[in-house]
Amino acid sequence: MSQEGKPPDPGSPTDGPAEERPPAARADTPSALSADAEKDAQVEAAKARVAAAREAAQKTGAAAPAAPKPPVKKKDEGPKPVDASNHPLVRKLNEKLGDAVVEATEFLGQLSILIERARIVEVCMALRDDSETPFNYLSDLTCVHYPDDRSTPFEVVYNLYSISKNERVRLRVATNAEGIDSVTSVWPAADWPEREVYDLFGVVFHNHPDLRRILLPPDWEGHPLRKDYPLEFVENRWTENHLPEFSGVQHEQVEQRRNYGLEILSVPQEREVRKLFRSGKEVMPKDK
Amino acid sequence: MSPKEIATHYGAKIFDTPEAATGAGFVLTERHAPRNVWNKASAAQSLMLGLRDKKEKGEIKEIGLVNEPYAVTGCYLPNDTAAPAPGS
Repeated sequence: MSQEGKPPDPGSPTDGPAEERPPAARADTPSALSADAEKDAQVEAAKARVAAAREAAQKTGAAAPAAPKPPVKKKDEGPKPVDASNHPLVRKLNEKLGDAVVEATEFLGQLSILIERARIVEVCMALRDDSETPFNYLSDLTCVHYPDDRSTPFEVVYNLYSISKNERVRLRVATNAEGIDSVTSVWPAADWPEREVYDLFGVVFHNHPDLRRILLPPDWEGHPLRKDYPLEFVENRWTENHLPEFSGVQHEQVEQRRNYGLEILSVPQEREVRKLFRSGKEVMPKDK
Repeated sequence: MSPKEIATHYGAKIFDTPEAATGAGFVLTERHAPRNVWNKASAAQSLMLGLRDKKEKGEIKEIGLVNEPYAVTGCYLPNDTAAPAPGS
């Protein structure tokens, strides 16, 4: 602790250098002289040590930023799908159905099997009725669009689950817009997911009991989850038919609002805004 | 993928402004001015796929994309029109 705040004690023989001490306290004897010299030597040695330590600290401090950074380690490539033709389930399918399995891969413990398009119902039936691992639950049915694959741009994906064995398998079927057979005869729950895929991707499911759009209006044109369909809402024939027309000024106003990120409206809201426009009320007085 | 990468993927010419595209003899098609970058990429992809189909059918000679900061516009070079020399 620092003692700078304390008043000096004139009576103490150890305080301050010898010149400042009272004359009575000065030591002129040889023993006292040698003690002073020893003390001075110790002080000098301590000063030298401090200086050396400072230099060393400065050296290390200056060298650290200049030192080249160690090269950044490249991340190892992630896991890749591996061939799963020897998986017991795949072998069983091969034994039962011959060449229905086109390809089988495993990725992070997830088995994925590409099935011949014409044999999907057969394969699903076999998996559902399997005595060892009955895949009695169709957990999801969806689709992926690969626009660069011209012959089979769609891949319908079936995620199956065996409740009793707690096992999952993913079936994939490559197809084009002509479509594939419906699996509603195998799992009735496939009804709505197949309608959703039809609605959003335009893949037709043959033998479906009620194949029509499920999310969009029946007279909507296009399939919004295809890659050739822009994400953002665009005025189209359906909006022309079902929503009141915009005047040129209103269009301009909407464009301005859109450019400012203000056009985040659902169809009912859009309709409401159009009503406001038609009634001539000020919608956004701040913009004026 | 960014609109630029998408255009490169489909072998389209990239322009910064519509004027540059029309100056090079390209005809502008649809213009999308989406609210965010994902929608912009999606818009670029949809434009490219439509133009790619036309090019494969032989209806157009070359495809292009005008990539502005807040909008993308498709463009194509018609079959019968040769691109004017640069600077003309």
